[in-house]
Amino acid sequence: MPGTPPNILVVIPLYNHAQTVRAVVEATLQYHPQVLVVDDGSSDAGATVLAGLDVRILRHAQNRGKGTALQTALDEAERLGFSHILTLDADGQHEPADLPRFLTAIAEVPQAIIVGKRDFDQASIPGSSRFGRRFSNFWLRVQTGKSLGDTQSGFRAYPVKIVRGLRLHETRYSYEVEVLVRAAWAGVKLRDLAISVYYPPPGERVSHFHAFMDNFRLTLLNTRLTLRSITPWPHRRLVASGEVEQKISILHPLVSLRRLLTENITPVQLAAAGAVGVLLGTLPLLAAHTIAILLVAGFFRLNKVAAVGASQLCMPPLVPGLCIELGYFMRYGEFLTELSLQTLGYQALDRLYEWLLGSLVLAPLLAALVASVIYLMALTIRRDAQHPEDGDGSVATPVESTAEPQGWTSRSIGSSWQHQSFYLMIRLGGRRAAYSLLYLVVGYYALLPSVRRKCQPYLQRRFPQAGTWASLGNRYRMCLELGKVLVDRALVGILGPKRVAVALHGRQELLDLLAEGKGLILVNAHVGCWQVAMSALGFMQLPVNLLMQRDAGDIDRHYFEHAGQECPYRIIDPQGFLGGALEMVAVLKRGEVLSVMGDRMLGEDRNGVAIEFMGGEVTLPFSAYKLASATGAPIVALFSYKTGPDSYALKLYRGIRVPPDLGRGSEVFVPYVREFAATLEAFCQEHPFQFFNFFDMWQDDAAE
Amino acid sequence: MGVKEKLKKILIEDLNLEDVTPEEIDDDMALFGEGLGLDSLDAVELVVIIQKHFGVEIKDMEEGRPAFQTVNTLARFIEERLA
Repeated sequence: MPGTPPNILVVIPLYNHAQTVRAVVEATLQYHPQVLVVDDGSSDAGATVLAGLDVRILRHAQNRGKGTALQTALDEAERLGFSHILTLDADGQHEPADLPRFLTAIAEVPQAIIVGKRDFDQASIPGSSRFGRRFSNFWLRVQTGKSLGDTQSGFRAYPVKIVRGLRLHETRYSYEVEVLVRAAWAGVKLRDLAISVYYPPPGERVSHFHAFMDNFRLTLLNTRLTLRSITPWPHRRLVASGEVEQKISILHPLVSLRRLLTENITPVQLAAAGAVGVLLGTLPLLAAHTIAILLVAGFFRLNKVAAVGASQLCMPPLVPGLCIELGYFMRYGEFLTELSLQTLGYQALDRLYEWLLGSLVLAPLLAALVASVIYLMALTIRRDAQHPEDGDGSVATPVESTAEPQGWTSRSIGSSWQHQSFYLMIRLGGRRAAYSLLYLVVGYYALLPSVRRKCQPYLQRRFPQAGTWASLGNRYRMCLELGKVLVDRALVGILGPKRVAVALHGRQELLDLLAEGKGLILVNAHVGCWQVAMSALGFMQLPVNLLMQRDAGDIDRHYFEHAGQECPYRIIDPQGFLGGALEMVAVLKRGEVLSVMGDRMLGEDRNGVAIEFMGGEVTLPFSAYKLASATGAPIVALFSYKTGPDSYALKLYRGIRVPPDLGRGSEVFVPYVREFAATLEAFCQEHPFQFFNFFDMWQDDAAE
Repeated sequence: MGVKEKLKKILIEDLNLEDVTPEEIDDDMALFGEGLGLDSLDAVELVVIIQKHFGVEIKDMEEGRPAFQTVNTLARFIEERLA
């Protein structure tokens, strides 16, 4: 009845709250004159305490449950010609002072069910109530895709005609859950309204919610409603919403997509539904795929038909077979070729494990693939539908320009997530599993423009002749080597240092230099895997001090962090007092080892000199050479590189002697820095894909 | 010659500070950054020349940090060690 002002009856269901109900009714009457109390067979004084108040009272001879009491109230309200009932509890937890706001809200959205949302930040709320509320909200969302802030609140407004039209079966507390779900299915709007709430201290509080029986009833109800929510036949609708029922067939994907698109589903939503279907369809959920997909799609309000339809692509034997083969390869480095009772029967548990392993890799990839295909198809169809007059010619170009939707913006969490998944692969499947994942992921990375920008300054100098394809190949190899190094580093942390053998070249020279007692400066570079290789220096039996800067946002972990160990090196912070200079001098005076990076300026360090490196001019730090000059410590250029799947080498490439008393100014150090640069260039000739200084060293080169 | 005067003289000579005379170095002038304008590499040199001229060794940060502030703090540090 649009136009007519709502005619509201306040309903207070009563069961054994004789102590509080009179106060509640009195307070309510101050805000609204029409009040009905339904005494649901109270065994205490019941509604008799209300004598003298101007209220309507109905009484059940026996206790029949809150749901029945509300139905009685609805019948009475309809008979008396009220358009809405507004329910509140008799135990005093609801504030009648909130009534005026409810009345306003009803006038605004007369066809909605309005549910008072308790402010749970308040301290007096019992923890069990908080949990119950979240749990109940979750199920409403699974079953209907709608979300409400407080599905367990009893302070509500119902439009009488609409609720009378629902088929409700519950008679007790669970009624209040059922009415929301069925109303949502029928197209009735659900609205939140913030209310205040008073929970009396535990001693004074009387609740008739029976922990076991009422929870059991709720569980039964949720099971029934959830099963109903995933069955495909449509719900009877009471309120027209303009949404068209779906007539979708998996056999006609384009027709189905077109129909779905007319229903205000965007291509991104369709692609997401397809991705969910394929993602879950690939996992070994053993006969529970469809239910899982329906539940997840329901929760995220994705199109269930599209999700289930897409999951049909994962039908056995193809996709499970692929997963098992991939998982098998990740574990043993070869494919499973023998199909026999032995391999498929007796070793079934192994195959299941490999299925899981393989699906963890394959599921996201297939999901991304299917999502892209659906997205592009949907985009093309929609463009056709929107511009039918444009004809075929205009379709091709705009698809590409918009093919990067907003959906892929979660790059910031993406990388952390990606790191985590590698760590998981290492734990589950060891090195081979992580490497297998790497071959795929790196392929994607090598294509990224940002990665290209980072690799090219070096690669185009190292391989000036390389064309487009060759440089893509080089980029892939470089990223792959970096990926392997990162995996190895995590591997050493997670599975122990025994996993990697490090060969040291130049052991005797190092011992001789240390014997001089002036300390030793190791000048490293961003090559190989210095962290893994350093374990080979244990023989020196001396503390290793590391000049190292860590950024707050660093997500990749150092190997000792994986193992939960203390850092085995002493770290000198280049951002500390005087750039850590005093600490470095002290370290050398004690005859210890100091390790610095020679190929990049650190932080605020301005002590750099211009040096020729790989045909261009770069700025390299010279502090290490100054330290050597001042303290007499010898310098060695020491680089690490990966030599095999589980082996590294740490090699002393060159010793550099800096004479004492060179004095002030940077120019005096140029010859020694040049020695280092030449050594590094020689290293790059030997190991071109293990140079990981992704900083553009040549950015200031005048020739650029 | 007192420690302060000797310190100022060797600062200028050993660090090759140009256009500065001992008189121009204030006792409370900051040695690093603003003030005398020394940098971290000069600090390295300073550790070495203090050992060379005064025979005083600066072994770690805890000693060095409070001493490496001004000519006054550095002179006091050296005097304490020599006493």
